[in-house]
Amino acid sequence: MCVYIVITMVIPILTFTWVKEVQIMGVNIVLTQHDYENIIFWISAFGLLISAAAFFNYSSPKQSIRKGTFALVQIILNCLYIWSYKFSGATEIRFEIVFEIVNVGYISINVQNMVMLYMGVYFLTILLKGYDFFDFVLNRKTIREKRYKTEVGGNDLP
Amino acid sequence: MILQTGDFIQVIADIVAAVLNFLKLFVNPMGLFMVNWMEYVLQFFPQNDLTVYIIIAIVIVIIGFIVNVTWPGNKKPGFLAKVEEIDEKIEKKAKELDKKVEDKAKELEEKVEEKVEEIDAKIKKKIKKAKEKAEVIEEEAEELEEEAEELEEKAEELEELDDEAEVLEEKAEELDKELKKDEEKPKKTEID
Repeated sequence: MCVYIVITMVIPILTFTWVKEVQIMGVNIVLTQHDYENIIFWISAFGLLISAAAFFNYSSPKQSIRKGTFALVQIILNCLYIWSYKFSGATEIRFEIVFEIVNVGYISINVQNMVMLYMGVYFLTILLKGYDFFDFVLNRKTIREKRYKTEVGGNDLP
Repeated sequence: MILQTGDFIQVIADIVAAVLNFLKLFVNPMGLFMVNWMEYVLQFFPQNDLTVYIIIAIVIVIIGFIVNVTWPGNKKPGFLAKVEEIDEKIEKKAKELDKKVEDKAKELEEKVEEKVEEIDAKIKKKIKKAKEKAEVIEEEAEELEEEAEELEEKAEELEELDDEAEVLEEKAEELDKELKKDEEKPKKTEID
């Protein structure tokens, strides 16, 4: 859970905060993203949900239905999280180059393609997690039998 | 420097874009599908109110904690417990049957041993009786032999007596003859 909080919330928020106003060689590069607060809001919102789902997922017994369910929920939330970068405007970052109050020009970085690639990967991950979920549901009896045959005392691994 | 950093990021984005273009046929439909459902779902997510998300996250964490502490997954499922119960019952019955079989086997062994002992005792008794009878028969045989010997001796004695009687008879006859001769002699003398 803490790892997810760091990955999904702390690092992105720090990055965007750092990027918001950076100075290179005495030249101020200001993030002109009007929706900076909007980006932070969606990162925080989905970061919280992902971290909570990850906690439920990793504290559930191995190959259990609840683990499968929350793994799937976590991946879907991850998709929404990644998508939130796009609709909040974070994928099209526009920097204004300000030199001694005078606006010299701007740099725009478009990482939408990268986000789209991530979406494709997540689509396949969703399929995989969906398969896992149905596998856990359909083979519940076999999984439980195996669990209690292989593990002495029936202790579950996290 | 600024342009260099920007170029570097742009190069990465271009590489990714190239990969994406290559996989466009597969990725585009996936991306479109994803975008559609996500845009639909995101309508229901509250905006500009982070407390809702905080509450949802806390609730999920608390529920996860309670659920996974209460049902950690180390409790045996019902069907396995039933199988175990049946196994235990079968084992118990098998043990009971084994015990019964063992007890009966022991009883039978004891009975067999007792009968063997009885038969041994009977055989020994019969052997003893047979030996005693044999001894008695031997004694009787010895007695009979002795009697036979005695009878033989008596028979020999009787034979000897017969011989002696014959001798005596002969002597008597001779004496009779002598007497007759002696009686005849005086008569002749008288005649003379």
